[in-house]
Amino acid sequence: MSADPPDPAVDVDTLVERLRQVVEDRRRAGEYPPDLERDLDAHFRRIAARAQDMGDLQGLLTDVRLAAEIAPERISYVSSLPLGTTVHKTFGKAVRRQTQGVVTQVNDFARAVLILLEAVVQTRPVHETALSDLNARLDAVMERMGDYERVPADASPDLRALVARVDRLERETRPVHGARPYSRAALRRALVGTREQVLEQYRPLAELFRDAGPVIDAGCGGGEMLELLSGLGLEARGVDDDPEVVEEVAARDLLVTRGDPLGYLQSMPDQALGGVCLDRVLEELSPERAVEVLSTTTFKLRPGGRLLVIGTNPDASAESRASWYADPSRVRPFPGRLVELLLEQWGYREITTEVLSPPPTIATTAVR
Amino acid sequence: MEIHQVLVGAAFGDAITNEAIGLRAAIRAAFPGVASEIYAHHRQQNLPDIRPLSGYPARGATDAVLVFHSSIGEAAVGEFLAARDERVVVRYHNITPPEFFQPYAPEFAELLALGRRQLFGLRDRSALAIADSGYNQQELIDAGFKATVVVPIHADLAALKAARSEPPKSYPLARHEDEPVVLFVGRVAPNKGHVRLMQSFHVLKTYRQYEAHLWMVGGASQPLYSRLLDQYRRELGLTDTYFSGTVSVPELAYVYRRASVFLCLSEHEGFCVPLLEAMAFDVPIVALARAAVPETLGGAGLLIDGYSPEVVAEAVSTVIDDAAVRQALVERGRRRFAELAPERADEAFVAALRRVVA
Repeated sequence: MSADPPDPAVDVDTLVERLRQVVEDRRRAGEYPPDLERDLDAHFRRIAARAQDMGDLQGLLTDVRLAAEIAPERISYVSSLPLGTTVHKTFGKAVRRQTQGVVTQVNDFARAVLILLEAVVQTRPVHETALSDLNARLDAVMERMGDYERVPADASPDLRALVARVDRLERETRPVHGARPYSRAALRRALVGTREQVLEQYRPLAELFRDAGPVIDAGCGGGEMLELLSGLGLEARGVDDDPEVVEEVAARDLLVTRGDPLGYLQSMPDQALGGVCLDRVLEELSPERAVEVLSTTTFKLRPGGRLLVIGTNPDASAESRASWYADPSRVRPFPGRLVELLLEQWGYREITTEVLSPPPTIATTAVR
Repeated sequence: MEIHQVLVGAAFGDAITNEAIGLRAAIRAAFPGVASEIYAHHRQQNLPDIRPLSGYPARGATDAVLVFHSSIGEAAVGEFLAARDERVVVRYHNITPPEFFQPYAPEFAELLALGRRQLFGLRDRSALAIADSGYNQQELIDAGFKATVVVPIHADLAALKAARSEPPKSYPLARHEDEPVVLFVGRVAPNKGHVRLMQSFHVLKTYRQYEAHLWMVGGASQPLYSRLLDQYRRELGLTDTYFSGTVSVPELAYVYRRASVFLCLSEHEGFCVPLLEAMAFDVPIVALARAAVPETLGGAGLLIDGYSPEVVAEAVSTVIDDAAVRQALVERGRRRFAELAPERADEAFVAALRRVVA
């Protein structure tokens, strides 16, 4: 069959003007929100201003660091008066003990203030990650509302499904703010195992990442994998949205950031990572979001990068799976076979799944 | 007699380097017996037959001509030019106005400003300034250059068109085989309109083409600006949006063959070779009417005068959905591509050089 000849009625030269009219009509009909362009521009300007702000803060922090180097040697003895310099030097020596005492106290104070300021500046991006994640989720809800607008009015099953999806998005948003009314760390110890037991189980898995840094442990939980990776001399950072978990892991001198693991992964430059570990993360998310987390690794791992996905084995006996149901943060088991199929589709290679216990665990490894 | 070309930097895939190589062949063919080489201050390793600027003949023949390709500023090249007494022909591809980079990369903005100062410093001693677009020629005239002419860039795309296809390694392509792809090719730089690309794509994906993908192909050299774009992408919740970074020739051939529409929302372009590449691969073009873009397109694209993300989204959506519009744009692209064939550019460049030599 031959291709259709070009339509002589196509008037490309006036098409843009006609499209402008279409846009005006859609605006009037409420299909396009008013001031969309202005809002989009203002959004980018806010991001740029925040970045500028951070740059300014770092500069000010450097100034404070320099000013905080307090020492008696920095006190000048020089005087323009006859014998003034000698008098200042002599007096300085006489009160040296007292001067040193004051300097020590001021230094202690300056160090404490500096640590506080550095903590404030470093914590800011974490808050911004959480905020930007919230924005992204709000946008997702808005997008769902867009679906609502496009659905015919009599399509009630679709509308019910839409409301259910919006409800679910709202539920998922809550944990970002660390509002769980229970200690996830304590539950984890009771249901998954003690730190020593988990370390024992994970030790061979950590070998996958040998020479593959930097590694992100997204949803690092108790930080056991992070500890093993650091022990291998790898540049490894954990991310978790639970403030208690983050505090506990940071106290062990491990690199950890509080924030949404997906948001953090997405913020990394493409192909920047040598390894990603997802330790019992996917089963705590809705299926759609779990797939999004998993697919994000395909962008962020460099070719040859390693992926480790640890989860509860859904094929284990009902009795041994009982602990899975005992953890209220669990949403849906994420079968190893599904992980394998998705990774195959996205071009991962050397995909293998290992069954471990107790507790009933599957560990899927793959190479980007 | 000698006619040598001088570049600030030479690299694989760089449009100016490719043009210099093509022009060298044209000069050697048009002026038998004339020595013609390319010298560059910064050279990528293993580039065929590009000589270091430090090896430029200390004292050229009295009738020698030096063709200087003006791009970014470089103090060493400025000193080199100041010390030469040959006749100078300026080849002007445009230098991006530094204001675009000032908020994100002030050091780079300063290099661009230096490039402009170096260029304007040549106005009194250049025998001829050859711009690759009328837009660039006007800048030269405004800067006080007296003898100017327009010769389109020598863009030999035969190798790219013949290249095998290879999907970019970092992108999970399997699930997108039937879905529309909106493509832009160009450095990730503040004048290239990536913010507007994402804004328009946001409108397109939300209201018109839910299955669409946006591929932004090109290297990035300003880390702060790239971070801002990535943050914007995340905060807009844009899925299926892909920054490839630098790609190989087979990967570039793949993205052009796979693209449904080429979308250029650049604020400033001195010529824009990717528009020609899109024409070469029969990819219909939607573009913002800025700087030299309307001139390069020569009617071969949907040209939008006055940015509006909704209008851009409607235009892209129409090109994706309407086969007749798409076909009309492809036909126009083929005609324009033939007009800008490298052989024609070479002939015009050689004719301009003859004016100087004579």
